[in-house]
Amino acid sequence: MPKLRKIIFCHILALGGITVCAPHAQAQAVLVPMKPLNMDREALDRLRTVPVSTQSIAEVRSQVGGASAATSVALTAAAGLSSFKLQYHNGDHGVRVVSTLKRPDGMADIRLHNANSDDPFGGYASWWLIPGAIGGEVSGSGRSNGFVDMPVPAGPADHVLALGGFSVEISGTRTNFDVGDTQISRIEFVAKDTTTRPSIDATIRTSDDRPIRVKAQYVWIPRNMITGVKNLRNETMVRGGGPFVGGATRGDQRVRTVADAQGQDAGADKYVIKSFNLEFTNGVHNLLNIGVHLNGERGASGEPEAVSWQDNNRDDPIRWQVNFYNVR
Amino acid sequence: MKIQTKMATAVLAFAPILAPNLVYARVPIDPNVAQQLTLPRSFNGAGLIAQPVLAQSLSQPRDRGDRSEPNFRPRTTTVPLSETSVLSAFRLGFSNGDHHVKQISVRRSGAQAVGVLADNNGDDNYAFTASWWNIPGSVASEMSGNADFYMGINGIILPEGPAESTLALVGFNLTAPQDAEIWGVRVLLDSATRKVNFVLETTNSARGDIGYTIQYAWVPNTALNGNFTATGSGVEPGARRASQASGTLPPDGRYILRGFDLKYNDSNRSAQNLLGLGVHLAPGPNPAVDREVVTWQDNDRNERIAWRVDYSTLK
Repeated sequence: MPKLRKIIFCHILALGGITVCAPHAQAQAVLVPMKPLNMDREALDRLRTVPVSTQSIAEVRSQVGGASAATSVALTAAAGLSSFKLQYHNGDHGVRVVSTLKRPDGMADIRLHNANSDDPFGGYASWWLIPGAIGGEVSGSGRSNGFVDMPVPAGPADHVLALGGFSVEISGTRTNFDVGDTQISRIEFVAKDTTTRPSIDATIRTSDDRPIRVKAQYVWIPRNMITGVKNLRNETMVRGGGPFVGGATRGDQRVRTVADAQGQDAGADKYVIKSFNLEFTNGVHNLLNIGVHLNGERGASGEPEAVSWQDNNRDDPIRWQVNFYNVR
Repeated sequence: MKIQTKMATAVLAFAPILAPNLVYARVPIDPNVAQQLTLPRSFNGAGLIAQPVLAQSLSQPRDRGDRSEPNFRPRTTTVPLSETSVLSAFRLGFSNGDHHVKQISVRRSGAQAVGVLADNNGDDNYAFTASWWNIPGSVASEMSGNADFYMGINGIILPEGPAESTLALVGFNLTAPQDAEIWGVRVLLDSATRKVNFVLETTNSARGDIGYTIQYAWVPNTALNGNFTATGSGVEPGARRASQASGTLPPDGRYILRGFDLKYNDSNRSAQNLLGLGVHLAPGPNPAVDREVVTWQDNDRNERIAWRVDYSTLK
């Protein structure tokens, strides 16, 4: 007998002063057959408590190389990456490692450094721990003139794929993976939740053809925890005040702003990143910072900005795109 | 204050009948150690459940250095330490400026506490403050020996403890062969792997083994609310402050340490003299004050530092 029916049945009996559901039930209890109830299943679902996601934040200040940062709530496989920003504190540099990963101990691994790993940097990352989500980590290697395809174990039915974290490691030379760094023009991670072959693809473009190693943490999120599937981008490749054409006025910072982006912004809503692409469109550069923060971080433009991606100045044309899920 | 005293009296009056282990004690507190004395939060009138007891040790800097002085002597705590004592907070600080470091120690010695901060000749004044919680059901043990740097880094596996319990720190003593500028000190306990990982890293670390004593306890999980970690980093201002910590900090003084990692973190990985070190996570008397939750500095505080504290809150 379904539990609900049993409870109702007991109540009916209790109204008659009979306690057949108690351990000391009386033998003379009269059992009354119960009519099937026409339950509205969807109505019942709506009455159930709806689980909501919990935010976890980690922050590092003026670290050198990288750090394990404590999180406000211990990270799990169910944590989807929501925002991050890493920035050198002493000006732009080449990049050997950029990383925002969940650690098995619930902390965050946040890294940004070049070859000698001696430059102070700071940053933060935030995640949403999503009830019912599961996840894991995949890794791959390749070269910076191609892309790295990392197959992801298939998720349960009615789940969608998002990022839990990522890391990029770039070799400085063609033969030795342990030294060197490089300028960079593009970092892209794309979660593909196809039914036949889900994967996370990484595209990294550097000064020349370099070996790269990447890690991606994936999260399969129950579809009933998703409230929106959105995209925010700015692909106008502006440099200065207008489209990227020679002679455009430099100094306009608006390419990164939420206000000037195309698509649907996240507002103050909870969201997790499905894919992101950050790209200089005029070749490679040092990096001063890298980040996705769709809720809007007040940047050098003075307005809420959705991404960080620049060298020391802001005179290079960029384009960026973030696909994300709003979550409960 | 009066109310607290009356409550304490009441608790003491009932203690023999209701909860023999429940004791409340108060001592003057070093304002730099933000250990707020309060009645146990989970104290109930029935008093049927044995509660953790706070024990503190406080010493002022010695007036002058003299090896014949009882400078490293055990100090009496507000409540006697016991096999159930688990470290909660500590602070050691030279009172005559920063120095090289040879020995750092915060440990239990019988019912008393020992704190040591010394260079080679051990003749410098220092202050020592620490607090422990006596937690019924905890099982204490210790290990000691000599370890090279990598042995400490890789960690030593401790004997198996009781089921459903968590490894926590009672005390530690780390002694280098010679004093030197220091880079960092670390003692981290991991219940899952039963490993203790410890470092006293100085410019002389490669020149000899570190003498170590690690005092630890297996604390029943039933006494704990949860395990947490806080980290911090940076340079002044704020590298040590609660407001700039990552992770969570305990809401009050009812926590015990599972480990700590305090280090200088400059680009050139340079070692420095040490003026003081400590972990003192609890809020101070004035919640509005953005308190410092760790101590790790030389005289000038110009260096970049990084720190980590693993702790468990008590029920």
